[in-house]
Amino acid sequence: METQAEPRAGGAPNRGDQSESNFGFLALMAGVVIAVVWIGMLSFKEGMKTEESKRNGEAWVAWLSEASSKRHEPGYALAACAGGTPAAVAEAVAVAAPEPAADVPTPPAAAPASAANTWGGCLADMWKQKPFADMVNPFTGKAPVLIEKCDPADYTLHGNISIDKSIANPIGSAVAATVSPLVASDAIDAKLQLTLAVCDKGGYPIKVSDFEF
Amino acid sequence: MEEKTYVSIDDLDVKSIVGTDIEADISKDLPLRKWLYSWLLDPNIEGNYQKFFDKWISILIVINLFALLFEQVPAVFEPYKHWFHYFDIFSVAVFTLEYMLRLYMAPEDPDFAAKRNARTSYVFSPFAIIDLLAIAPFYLQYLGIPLDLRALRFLRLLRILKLFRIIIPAYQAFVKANEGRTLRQKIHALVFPGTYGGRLQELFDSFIAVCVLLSVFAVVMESVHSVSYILNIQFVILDAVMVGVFTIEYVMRMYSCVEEPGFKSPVGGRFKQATTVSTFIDLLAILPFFLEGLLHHVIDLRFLRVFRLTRLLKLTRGNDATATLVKVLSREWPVISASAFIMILLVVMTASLGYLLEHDAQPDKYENIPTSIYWAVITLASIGYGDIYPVTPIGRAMTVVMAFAGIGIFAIPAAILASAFSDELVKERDALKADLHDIMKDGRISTEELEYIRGEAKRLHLSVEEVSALIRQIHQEVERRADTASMPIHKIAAQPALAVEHYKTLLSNIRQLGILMDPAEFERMRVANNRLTPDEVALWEKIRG
Repeated sequence: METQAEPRAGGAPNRGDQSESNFGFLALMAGVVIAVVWIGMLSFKEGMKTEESKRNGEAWVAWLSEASSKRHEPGYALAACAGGTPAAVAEAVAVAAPEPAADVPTPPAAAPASAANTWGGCLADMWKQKPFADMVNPFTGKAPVLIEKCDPADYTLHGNISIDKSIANPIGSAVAATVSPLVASDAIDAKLQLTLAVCDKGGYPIKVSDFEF
Repeated sequence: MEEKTYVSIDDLDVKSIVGTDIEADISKDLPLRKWLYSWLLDPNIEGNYQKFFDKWISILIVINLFALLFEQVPAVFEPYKHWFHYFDIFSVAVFTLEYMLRLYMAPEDPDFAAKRNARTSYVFSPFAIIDLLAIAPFYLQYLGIPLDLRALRFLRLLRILKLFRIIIPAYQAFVKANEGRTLRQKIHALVFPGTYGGRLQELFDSFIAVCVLLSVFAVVMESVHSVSYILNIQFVILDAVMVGVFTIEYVMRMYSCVEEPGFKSPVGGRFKQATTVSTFIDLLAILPFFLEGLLHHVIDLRFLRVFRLTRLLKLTRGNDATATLVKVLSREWPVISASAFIMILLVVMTASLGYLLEHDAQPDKYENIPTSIYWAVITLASIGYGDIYPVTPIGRAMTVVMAFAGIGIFAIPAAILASAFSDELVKERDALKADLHDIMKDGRISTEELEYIRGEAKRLHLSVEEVSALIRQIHQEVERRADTASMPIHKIAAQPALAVEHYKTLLSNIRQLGILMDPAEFERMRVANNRLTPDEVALWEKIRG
């Protein structure tokens, strides 16, 4: 416990060297305030870079989520990102069904799965699109890179983006889903459950969102 | 020199000393305005609602400030904007009511009562202008006067100035109490509890406590992803501001600690202060910010952030319960360390036996003695997670024995601490009792002694009843000890309370004399020898009755 302060000799001032010590104290206080403001500004700038990285990630999520609803439709503009069409799904259902009703119209042919239906192919075309072409990683000043995983030990990864895919395990498994990085060779013809994260100033991942692509 | 004022023990009002549940002495016959002023706004009447009123208005002002800050965060404001609006209406209603009350009661306020028109003087006083600025934008908005949103927010920010109504009187009292003292002594009075700090020191402590709670709350909320994702930059700003406050407090403490008894040396005293537990905690609370800010490019110092939670320990400064616990721990340390030694012995023995008896049966679980130590601690401390357990009959038998031993051994430190803590409280109460004996031996209590009793009663958490019982007990003991018949008259004269008792005893003796003796014989003796003067005879007649 702090000792109870009692006035020195009835509270009499001991001026002596006080003016020098007051000056020293005031100088120290000014120094401390400057140091706190300076380091505070540094932290703020670094924080703003992380915020900007988050905005980049959010733009990715917005684009991919929007594409998710359209890319399975026939004639999707970005062919490399097109998935299996609903018609193909309907066809698969029709094949499995015993007898289709006579008055049901025949669905159009499904787009065939090709090498273009991989994440790598889609990504190559995506970079040319509007939000991605202008994106800047605030930590490097260059375009953000899609990486497999954030790593605090690797300072070159700050501000970059990682995407994980989540694949449901069979019912009864100890773990509901397997999460792994989305890699170039991954097929994207079916819908995918993805999680996008950006690497913060310490290299740790900040989850931006879970979404469907 | 200021003359000391005293209170007689018989006139002592323990309730007013302990300072709890004091009932304000306000007559019901007062005119309504005066009566309301006395209950709500008069700072000079103990036990009225003035402090309560000020406290809740201050809390509302601080909440308003936070509401205004959160309004800048769309992710927080947008989903709850209706609640923000309702809160604003509620705040303006309260502040308007406060303004109207103060305006109505201005003629009762000594600051304005002497003025020609008290209410007009009040309206143009700085505090009233601030009060009006705090509510005016709201009404202007509804009167259809277009106001820029930024100007509106700035004007709402002015509500914080209402706090000056509390801060300025405290500051004025502080300046008066510290008149003629040096800057260092003034800073000392502000940051260390003492006689010169007054209300401003209390406000400073409260401000630091609010900052501590706020920053710890922010640290905890930062771990919630959904919150930190939205408010990340606000947390960064808040942390910088809080570190600024704590750093200034740290520097002030280090600068002025040489005014403390035992810390007088400019270098040695400050080093001694820096190595005290509470100051070390203060340093831990701010260091992560500086280290992370300066070195984050070189090494990952994120783990240091956990030390920001040590800010919570700042609240233990000046906390008497913590001081008592530290005292108890240091006093009982030899016993506690002895029992800790036995505990360690038991844990190592149990782990070794567990390894010997179970390793062959469960090599994966009882892999080695260090692994078995985990099982031993979990078993002896009666936690029993059940992830590792013996399966061999002899291993189970050994566990039964060790578990029984563990119950006793592990309970010893807790029992020692509980008993020592209780002993310490009894000792402190006995010390207070001894001090009260000293204070009350002259039958009166000075204002300084009253202050001491008030402080000790607060520190030891004594109720009004307990203090009353203690004082009554000591008063009776003092009276019993004071056998005036055997005391020299100058000693009786030195104690006014005893002198009164002695006088009463003498009167009683005279009355007894009058009853027991033969009045005719007394009269004959008095007249015959002319032994008593007429005054003495008159006095005798009066006392005898």
